[in-house]
Amino acid sequence: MNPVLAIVAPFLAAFTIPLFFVFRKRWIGSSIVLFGILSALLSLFVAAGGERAVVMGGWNPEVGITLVVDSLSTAFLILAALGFSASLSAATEAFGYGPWRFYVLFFLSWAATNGIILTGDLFNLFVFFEIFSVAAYLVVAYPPRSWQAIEAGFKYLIFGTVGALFLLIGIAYAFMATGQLNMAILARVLPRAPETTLSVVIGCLVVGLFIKSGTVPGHFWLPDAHSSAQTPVSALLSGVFVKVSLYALIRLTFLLFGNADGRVFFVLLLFGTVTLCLGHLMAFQQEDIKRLLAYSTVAQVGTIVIAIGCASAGGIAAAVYHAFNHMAAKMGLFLVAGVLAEDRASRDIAQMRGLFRHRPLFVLAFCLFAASIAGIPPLNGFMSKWFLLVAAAERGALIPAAAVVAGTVLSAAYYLRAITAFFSPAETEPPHLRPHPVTGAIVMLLALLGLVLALAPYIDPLREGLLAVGSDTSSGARYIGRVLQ
Amino acid sequence: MKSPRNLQRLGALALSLALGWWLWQGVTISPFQGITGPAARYIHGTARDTGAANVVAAILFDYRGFDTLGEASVIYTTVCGVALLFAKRRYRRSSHGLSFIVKRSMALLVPFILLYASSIIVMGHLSPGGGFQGGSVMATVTILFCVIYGSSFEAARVSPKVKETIESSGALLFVLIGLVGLVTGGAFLTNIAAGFPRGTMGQLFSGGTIPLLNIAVGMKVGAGLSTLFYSMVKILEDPTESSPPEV
Repeated sequence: MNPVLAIVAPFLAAFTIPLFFVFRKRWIGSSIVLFGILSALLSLFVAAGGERAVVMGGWNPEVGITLVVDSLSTAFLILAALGFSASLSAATEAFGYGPWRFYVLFFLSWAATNGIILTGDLFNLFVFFEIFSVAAYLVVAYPPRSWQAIEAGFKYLIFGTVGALFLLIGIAYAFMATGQLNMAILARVLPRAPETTLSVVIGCLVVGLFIKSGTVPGHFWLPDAHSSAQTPVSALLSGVFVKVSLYALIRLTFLLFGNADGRVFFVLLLFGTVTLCLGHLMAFQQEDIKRLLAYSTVAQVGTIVIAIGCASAGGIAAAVYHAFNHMAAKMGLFLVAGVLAEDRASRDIAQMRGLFRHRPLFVLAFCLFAASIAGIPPLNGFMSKWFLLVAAAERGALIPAAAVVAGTVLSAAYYLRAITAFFSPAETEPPHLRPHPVTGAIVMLLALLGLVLALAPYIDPLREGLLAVGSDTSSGARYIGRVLQ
Repeated sequence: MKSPRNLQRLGALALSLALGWWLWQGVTISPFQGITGPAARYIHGTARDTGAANVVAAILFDYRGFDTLGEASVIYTTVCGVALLFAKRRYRRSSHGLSFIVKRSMALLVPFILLYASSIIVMGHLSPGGGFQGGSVMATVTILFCVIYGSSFEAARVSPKVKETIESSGALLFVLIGLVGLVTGGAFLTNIAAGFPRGTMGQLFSGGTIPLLNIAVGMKVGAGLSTLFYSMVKILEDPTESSPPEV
């Protein structure tokens, strides 16, 4: 199956939903569901279809735009398909089908995400990052009645635009130095560029992706955006959007700068460690449950950046594995926290007492996700952190490894604070509010996904797949061969 | 002068200068050795590959047509978001427009501006211009309506739903043309190789899908920019009449 269908299907959804609004209002709901299923299935089919590269318009890779499916993009396609479908189901329950413009933006961001993951062209990557970011600013600012959401969206807009500017400068310098935009060709010719030019390209691309992914010091937008957005959007932001920028970071650093300059990985290790420490320390101080989760996301971004900075096949495998684990756990945490905060009409942890008796299953799921993200053995979060520690030790990066371990303790502390509140008795019963069957089902599925992921190192196809992601991506030769065959 | 705020500004200035110096150092201008790489292919191959006389249009809508789908979708996303954030049910009359003379002379000019916009769109593969440019000129007309006839004029004649339909149909048309290429030519947005007629270079009917894609982008951009303007102009209405925007 042609990989472009994974991008075109959500685009079709985004372009036809307005027509349904104008001509057949009653079909909007079913069309949203159908297009959601179609987009997820096509993404998974493309992911299952094996490695290949296709060029748009039937040109050769130098002239046209290439889409590449390799093991790394396969992994992230699956991650995006799972995350978007979970968030879409939660959104249909939370908002209904009324705000159809929200779903248009949702599908546009899905198309752009698949585009970023599949494209093999540096400028095309930027174009998809633009769609992705604009859609992200807007879904954060939804609904327009709450000023916090507008403010968070505006902050995200400013930071995201600065990040996009750096990306664009980096791409322009790469084009100036080589005259090429295809990433596989650039991987061959870019190392021959003058040293200062190469440093500008590396610096701008890495800074741009740092800001987009929420790595310190470009993280200021992240806690606001993740905590002020509506629950399904927060889950999507933490589960998928942050990972997309990290995907681009993995792809570009290893493909373009892997051989040229090992110093970029030292920078990743350094900033990853700072991000991890700051994220955990800030999360420790939060009183607001969604801000706590948001800062925890900052810390997990740091963890993944450290894994990328290990500059080895094992490091990439750990990064991808941790991205999946964080997606499963953090989406679940945000969904549960949204439901519980709605019951108490407050996001203050001190107010959220007595919720275990009220919604035992949700609270138990919260405990499972929190334990997983904190890294309690034998849950999935522990497994990926273990692989990360092994990779870091092989690289000799002992301080980042120590920071990961210390962060585990700290995160256990702050998650326990929330869990203690849930289990402690309350003076007043929470008012019985509406049931959340769909969210409940998604939370259960995410918990199941987490358990499967915990077993991944023992299931041969999954383990082999993860290791293949690492070894294919770290050298880049396979990717280049695939595109330029 | 020694206040902390000034020190901050000096620090920011120093940082900006350092960044600028770094970017300046990175500029490489290699000695000219003829055109190489993709650029050479674009210049020498456009007529043979696409049948378009305008190399830029050939790059935009054929060689790198997928980028154009993305770029037009950025506008589409923005329009959708602005309409979402500034959503309001009804239009109010905010002004009565300019004098009779201006209104009459504008009425004389409008057909010509629209003709100009259409010619930019449909001749995008022959001369400078194309869907983005022509669409913007088209949107300018609707903005002129607002300035000259008052903000309620346009809404009374062209309903937002019509613009919505035009915009989405343009986007859909682009994707469908791409899918035709996928089915008959084996790759998304295939042009000549998928059986679209190349025509004679320099004629109106030439360049395969390029004129069609220009029209699609023109619909998308023209209706989109117009919606963008009218979504935002609504909150500039008479402040004595309504409450300030709820943000």
